[in-house]
Amino acid sequence: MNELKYAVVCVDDDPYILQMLGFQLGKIINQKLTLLEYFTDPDKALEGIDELMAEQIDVIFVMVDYQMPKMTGSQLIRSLKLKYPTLNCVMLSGQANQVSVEELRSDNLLASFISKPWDEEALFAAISPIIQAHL
Amino acid sequence: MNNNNFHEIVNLLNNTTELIHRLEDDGTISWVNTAWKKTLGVSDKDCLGKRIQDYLSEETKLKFAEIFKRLKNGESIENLTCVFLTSKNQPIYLEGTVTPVMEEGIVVGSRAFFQNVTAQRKALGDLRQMTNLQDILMRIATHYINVPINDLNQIVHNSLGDIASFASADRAYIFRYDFKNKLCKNTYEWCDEGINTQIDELQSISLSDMPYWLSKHKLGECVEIEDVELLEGEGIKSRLKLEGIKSLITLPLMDEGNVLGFVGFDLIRNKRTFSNDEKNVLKLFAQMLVNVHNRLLNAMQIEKTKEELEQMNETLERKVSEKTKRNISLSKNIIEQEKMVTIGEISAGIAHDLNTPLSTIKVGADNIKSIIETLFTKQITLLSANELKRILERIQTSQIEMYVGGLQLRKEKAEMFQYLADNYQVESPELEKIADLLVKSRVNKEDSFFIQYILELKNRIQNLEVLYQLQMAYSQLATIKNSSDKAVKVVQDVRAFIKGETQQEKHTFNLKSNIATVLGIFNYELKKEVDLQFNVDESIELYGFEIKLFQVWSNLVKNALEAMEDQEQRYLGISAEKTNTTLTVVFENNGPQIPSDVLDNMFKKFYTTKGRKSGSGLGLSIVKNIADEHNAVLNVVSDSTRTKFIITFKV
Repeated sequence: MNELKYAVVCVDDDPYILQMLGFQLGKIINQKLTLLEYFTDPDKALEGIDELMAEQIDVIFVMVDYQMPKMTGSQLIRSLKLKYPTLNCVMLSGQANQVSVEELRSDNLLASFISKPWDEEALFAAISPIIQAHL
Repeated sequence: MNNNNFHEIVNLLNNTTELIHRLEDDGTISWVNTAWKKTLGVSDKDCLGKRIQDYLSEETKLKFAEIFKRLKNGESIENLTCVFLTSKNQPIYLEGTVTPVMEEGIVVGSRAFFQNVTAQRKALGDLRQMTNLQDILMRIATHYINVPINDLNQIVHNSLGDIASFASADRAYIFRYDFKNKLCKNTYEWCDEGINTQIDELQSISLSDMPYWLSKHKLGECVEIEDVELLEGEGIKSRLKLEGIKSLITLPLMDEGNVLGFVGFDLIRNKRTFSNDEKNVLKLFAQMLVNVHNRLLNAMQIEKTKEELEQMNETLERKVSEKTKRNISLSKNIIEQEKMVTIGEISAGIAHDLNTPLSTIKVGADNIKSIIETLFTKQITLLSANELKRILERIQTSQIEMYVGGLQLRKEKAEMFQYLADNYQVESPELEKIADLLVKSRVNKEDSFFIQYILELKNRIQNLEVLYQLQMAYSQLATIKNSSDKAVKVVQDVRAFIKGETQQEKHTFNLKSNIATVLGIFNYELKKEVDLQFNVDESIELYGFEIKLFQVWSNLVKNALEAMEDQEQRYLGISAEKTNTTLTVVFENNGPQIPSDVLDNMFKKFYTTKGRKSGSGLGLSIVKNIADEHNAVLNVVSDSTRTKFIITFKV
C-alpha cells in the first residue's frame, strides 16, 4: 500500500453533492497518494482535518459548501485558516452570502469560488492550479 | 258768570285728569267731576248726597277730623295725600290741594283737586316689598343662570310678568329688530289679567314708523312716553292709541354697542312716569335679557354644532362601515398576499432548496455523459454479452452507496488486497488495481462468489472497470431521481402553500404532512442552526381548512425564527397531542420572554414589534383569524426560557 501523502477534503451537508463531486475529483486526483475525504457535518470536518494535519498529511485543499447546519462555510473557513493559515480553501456554493464571501476574499482566505451548479471543466480549472502547486 | 261760562267751566273740570270734588261743610258730597267718578267707579246718583267718609280708607278717615277742622278755620291744605276707595274697595292714592269754600266770611264747604298717584304709590309699595332692587334682579338672574335651556322661554315670559308687576305695567313685551328687512317683531309678551294680547298683530312693524324710537335705542337710550297723546311724528302712534295705551317705556337691548331689540312696558289703565330707580331696574333687566339671548344663541349654536357633529358622526360611521365592508373583502386579499410575502421573505431559501437538487441533477447528467463516453471509447466494447449481462445483474442487486470516505476506502482496499493475496494467485501490480476497483464498485470479501467469477475472466480488469463505471452511472441516476423528487417536493410545497383558498371546504387530512409541507418551504431557514424537534404522530388527522392551516404553521415558524434571531442556541419544538375531545398543537421556541403588553396586543391586526425592519403586523392576527375559523383556542405562554403557542382544536 502506498504511503499517504496528500488529502482533499469536501464538506457539504448534501450527500448527493458529495457523491457528484467525489466522482469528478476522482478523475483528476491520484488516490494512491491522495486521500479524498467527505464530510456532511462541518464539526466532523474540523476534527478530521486536525487528524490529517497531526499525521503530517498535506491537505491540498478543502472544498466547502456555504449553507450548512451548525455553521456556515464562511465560519468553517475562518476557523480553519486561523489554525492553518496556508490551507487552500475553496467554496462551492449556490447560495452564498455575497457579503461574507467578499470578506473572505478581501481577507485573502479564499483560494477559489465555484458556484452551484458547476461544470466539470470549471471545477477542474479552479482546482488544477492548486493541485499543481502542491505536487 | 253767565250760563254759558258756567257750562264751559264745568266742561273744563270734567275733562281734566285731576279728581275734583265739592263738599258741604258737614262733608256731604255736592259735586264731583268725571275723572273722580271714573276713577272711583261711581255715578252722580251713587255719590251725590253721600258723605265723603264713605269713600275714604280707614287710614284717611282718621286724618279726616283734623283736615276738616283746618278747613273750617279757613285754612287751605296743600300736598295732601289721602287714600280713597273705589266702589270695588280698591285703594286710590291721591295727592292734591283742599281749600275751604267761603261765603261771606263763613266756611260753607270745601273743594279738592287731586292727582291720582296710585300707580307710583303701588310701584313704590312693591319696591318696598322687595328688600331692594338687587333682590328682584338677583332672583331673575339666578333663574336665568340655572334654568335648563329648554325652559328659558318660559322663564323669560315669567320674568316679564315679574318686572311688569313691579313697574305696574299692564303689558310687557320684547321686540327684536330685523335691520336687514327694516322691521321689528314682537317675540315675547306678558299681559295682565283683562288686557288683550297684541303679539300676533305685531310680527312685522316697519322701522320707518318709529324713527325716534330707533334713533334713541341705537344710542342705548330708553324711550319713555308719559302720554301717548303727546307723541308726534311716529307712525306707531295711531296703533298705540288704538290699543288704548296711555304711557309706555321701552329700553333697548344692547349687546356690545349693537341694539338687538327692546323690552317695553305699556300702561293702559293709568298713565304714569318712571323714577330713575325704576328705570335703572328696567335697564338691568334689559341687560339680563341680552345675556339670556346670548346664552340662548350659544345654546342653539351648541345644539347646532352637536347636530352637525352627530350628522358628521353618522356620515363617518356610514363611511367607516362602507370601508369596513371593503376592508373585509380586502382582508381576504391581504391574507392571500401575506402568503406571498412569506414566500418572498423565504424565497432565497426556496431558491437554495431548488438549486441544490438541480445542481446535483445537472452535474449527475454531465457525469453520466462522461461515463458513457468512457465506456464506449474504452472498455465496454471488449466485453461479451454474457459478461455485460452479469455486470448488470450485479449492479441491480447491489446496494447503492453514494460515496465512501477516503480513509474507509483505503482500509477496505488494504483488507481486500490482503484477502486476494491470501486466496488467489494474482500478480502484485494487478492485484492492487483489482482490489481498488472491487472496493470502489462496492464488492466486499463476502461476495467471494462474484470475486471468483471476476478473477477467472480473461479481461477481468476491463470487466471491473465497466462494473465500476456502470455502478457509478447507476448510483448517479438514483441520485438524479432523488434530487428530482426533492426539487418536485419543494415546488409542491410552495404550490400547496400559495394555492388559493377559494372554494376550499373543510375536510380531513393528515396533520403531520400538513405541517411538514410548511417545514419543507422553511427547510433552508430551519437548517441554519435550528434544533428542530418535529414530534407529531403520523396517525393524527385533523378536520379543517388544510390550505389555511399552512399559514398558521408558517406564521408560527416565521415568528419563532424571528424571535430566536439573537439566540446562541435555537430550539423549535413542534408537537401534537390528541385526546378524545381535543387536539392540541404546540409550537415551542427558546426566544426571549414576551413582555405582557406585547402579549396583550400580539394578535391585533397591524401590531408589530419589528418596526420598519420587517413584518406587516398581520402574521399573528392571521393565525388568530384562522384559529377562530376552526373554533380553536389560541394561547401563548412565555417565560424566560420558553415561549409556547398552543392551539387547541375541538375534535
